[in-house]
Amino acid sequence: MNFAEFRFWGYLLAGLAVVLLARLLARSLPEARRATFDKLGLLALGWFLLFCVSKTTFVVFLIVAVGSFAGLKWLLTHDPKRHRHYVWVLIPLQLLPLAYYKYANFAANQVLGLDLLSLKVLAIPVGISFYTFQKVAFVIDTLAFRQPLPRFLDYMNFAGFFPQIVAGPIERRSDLLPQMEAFRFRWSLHDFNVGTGWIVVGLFFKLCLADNLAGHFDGTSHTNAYLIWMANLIFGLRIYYDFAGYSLIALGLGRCLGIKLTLNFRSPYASSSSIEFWHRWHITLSQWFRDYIYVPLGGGRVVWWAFNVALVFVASGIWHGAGWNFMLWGAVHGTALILNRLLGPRLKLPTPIGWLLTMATSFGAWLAFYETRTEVLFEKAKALLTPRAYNLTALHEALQSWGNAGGFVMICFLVLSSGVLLTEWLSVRKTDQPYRLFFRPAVLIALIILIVVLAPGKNNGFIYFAF
Amino acid sequence: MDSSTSPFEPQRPVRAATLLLTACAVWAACVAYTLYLNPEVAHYVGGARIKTAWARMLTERHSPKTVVFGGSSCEFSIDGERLLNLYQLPVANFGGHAGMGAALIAESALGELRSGDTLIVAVEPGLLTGTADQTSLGIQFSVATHHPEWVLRPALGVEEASWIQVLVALRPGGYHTFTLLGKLIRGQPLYRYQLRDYRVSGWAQTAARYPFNDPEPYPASLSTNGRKLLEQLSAWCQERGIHVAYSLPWCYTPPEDVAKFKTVNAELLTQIAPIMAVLNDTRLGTDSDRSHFADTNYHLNESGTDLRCAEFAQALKSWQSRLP
Repeated sequence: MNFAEFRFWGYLLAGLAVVLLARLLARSLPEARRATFDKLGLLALGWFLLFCVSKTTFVVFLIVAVGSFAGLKWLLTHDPKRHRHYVWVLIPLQLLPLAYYKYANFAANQVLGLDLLSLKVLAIPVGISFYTFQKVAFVIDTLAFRQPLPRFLDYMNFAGFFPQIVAGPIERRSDLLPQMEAFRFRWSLHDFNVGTGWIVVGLFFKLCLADNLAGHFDGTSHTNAYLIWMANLIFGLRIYYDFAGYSLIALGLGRCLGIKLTLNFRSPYASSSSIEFWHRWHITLSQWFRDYIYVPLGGGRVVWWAFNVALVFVASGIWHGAGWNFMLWGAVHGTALILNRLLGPRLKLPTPIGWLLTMATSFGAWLAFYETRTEVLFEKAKALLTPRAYNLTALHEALQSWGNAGGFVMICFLVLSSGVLLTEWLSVRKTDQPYRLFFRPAVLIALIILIVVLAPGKNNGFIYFAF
Repeated sequence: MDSSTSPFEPQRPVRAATLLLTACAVWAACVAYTLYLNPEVAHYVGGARIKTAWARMLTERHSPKTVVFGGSSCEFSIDGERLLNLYQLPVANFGGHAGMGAALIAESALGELRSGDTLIVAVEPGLLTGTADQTSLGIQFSVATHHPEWVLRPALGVEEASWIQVLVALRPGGYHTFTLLGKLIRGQPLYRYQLRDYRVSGWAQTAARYPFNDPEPYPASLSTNGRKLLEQLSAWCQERGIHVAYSLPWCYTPPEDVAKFKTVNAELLTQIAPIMAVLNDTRLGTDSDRSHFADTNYHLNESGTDLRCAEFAQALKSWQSRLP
């Protein structure tokens, strides 16, 4: 479900046309059946779009979704008093497909050194990390808050709502399920207009900024600190515009259908501390780790809180990918957060200094995110941390590599990206609503113009599809 | 945060239709710009007119003729006037920008071939060993020359572009927009080459001189797409009674790299030979004399062209004399 491809929009419109035509033919049905009909239509549309992504993705999704529901139903009906014990069996079962597709290769080949070719060529089903976590949260929420089991149809719509199934936001039962239970194909002009606004902003982020920045990413230098920082900067901006762009389009698509999804990003690069950064970056995943790992471990109120933070961030790193580099990425952020919590109240740094430190940490850590070769990663990290690497020769080399036409284009896109971040920051400062200013009609029209003129001919896929 | 709690919901809802209409209007403007104002596309469209006119003159007065096509190395090295006047060889040069893709340039040359003519494939090895996707520039060129069928229904059976791909390609894109902006700011010409750089036969020359890098290495084997293109060309020519052969373009190669590139090129030629004839070239596509080149390591200047045409004429005549 690549929102950046025309194919997706073609499939969506075709699928929607079939569903709405069938709905028109079934208009004589009683009201209750029409409600069911609408939900079935939404489910069929979601399954059709997921099937178009790939058969494997579709089948694995069905296994996880139906397996979770069946397991939960069994727990609630067969042994309601002792279900807390069985949940320790059900959750690992839910995680089994994720473990197999995403981590078996790393565990068997890299950790144990078994060299199993069948695992090396294993393709990760798109979105498996996202929908698996949503199902795990659903099971826990249902049991912890003693919620009733929903109708299977409503659950399947909750589990497979097409705008968010492959890359989030990871929705919670309390937010999404009631909306699915009340779902009807109602066309509200207001919702449609607001949804379109989100889609335009998301497409601008993805097509105009992320995809163009992607073409200027150059991670070939191992020793030139300036070039490595530039690669980190480009990657950090790209991944933000890529993932936030996807999330905003998902939000807009949901809204067009009358479903309100959770805002997954709130201008993270406007943060002036690591703690604030993680309240603004991939919010639904951060909340998942907070509610299902950090808090159950005792959260921040226990003596070993630093261990809890470290564990959560290393787990977050592993969620992103099976590799030592992702663990390191999580560990860097975990350390920054611990230091932030320990030293922040004592130092009380001015906001600009706090912002600079946060950005240095965030963009520095992106190195561990994109550089999967461990030896090269350490070589580059060493260059970044060695003062001698910031010499004039290296600067001259860097300036030379940015001095051509490609370098000029890169600088133009960096300026455009910075303008967008500045706009977000102004919005955050006024109302804490980072994308508010983009919704002005004139700005939306300007964004449309920029998308049409500047989007490259080829899109680069969404980075988070790999997770 | 739930999106519904945000104040983004405008007091006066933004109308989706307005946005859609804006997108359509801007797109139409982009198409018009690309087809009529884009300096790069305009240059190659102008060049195509000159080349076609020369080819048609040869068809009328000097049949059977020879058509040579390839990337810009071909455009800068095969001088039809010189070959006609000095060597009595009627040759039309259909070289184009390598960024258009080898298949598209080939399509543009096929229309001027008649039974009994000769087609010389002078495509750079890099284009035959790499991928051969439809490129934006190729699509822009085909539509601007009123030949969208070159990408939508290619005669050579290479992968077709969809209408959506064509529409997407008919926009400037970020790279073009900002490089153009940079040139405007610096007061530079909007495109490196000028239409006046073309001579009457379509041979291109430039006064521009830039330092250029050593040649990029390429694999010593044809890619699937490269092989398919050559096979399709060979079959297409055979069906129409057209002779076809391959000629290695010349590339500036530092003396220390000559042996390496000769080995790679020789290996490539052994793979091409079973598909189509190969013109004799003792240099195996390498030239270590920097004074033969203009602004890139594939663009020959006047003296380089003089030498290339002389050797090309000799090789072509020698091969043609052996044809049944």
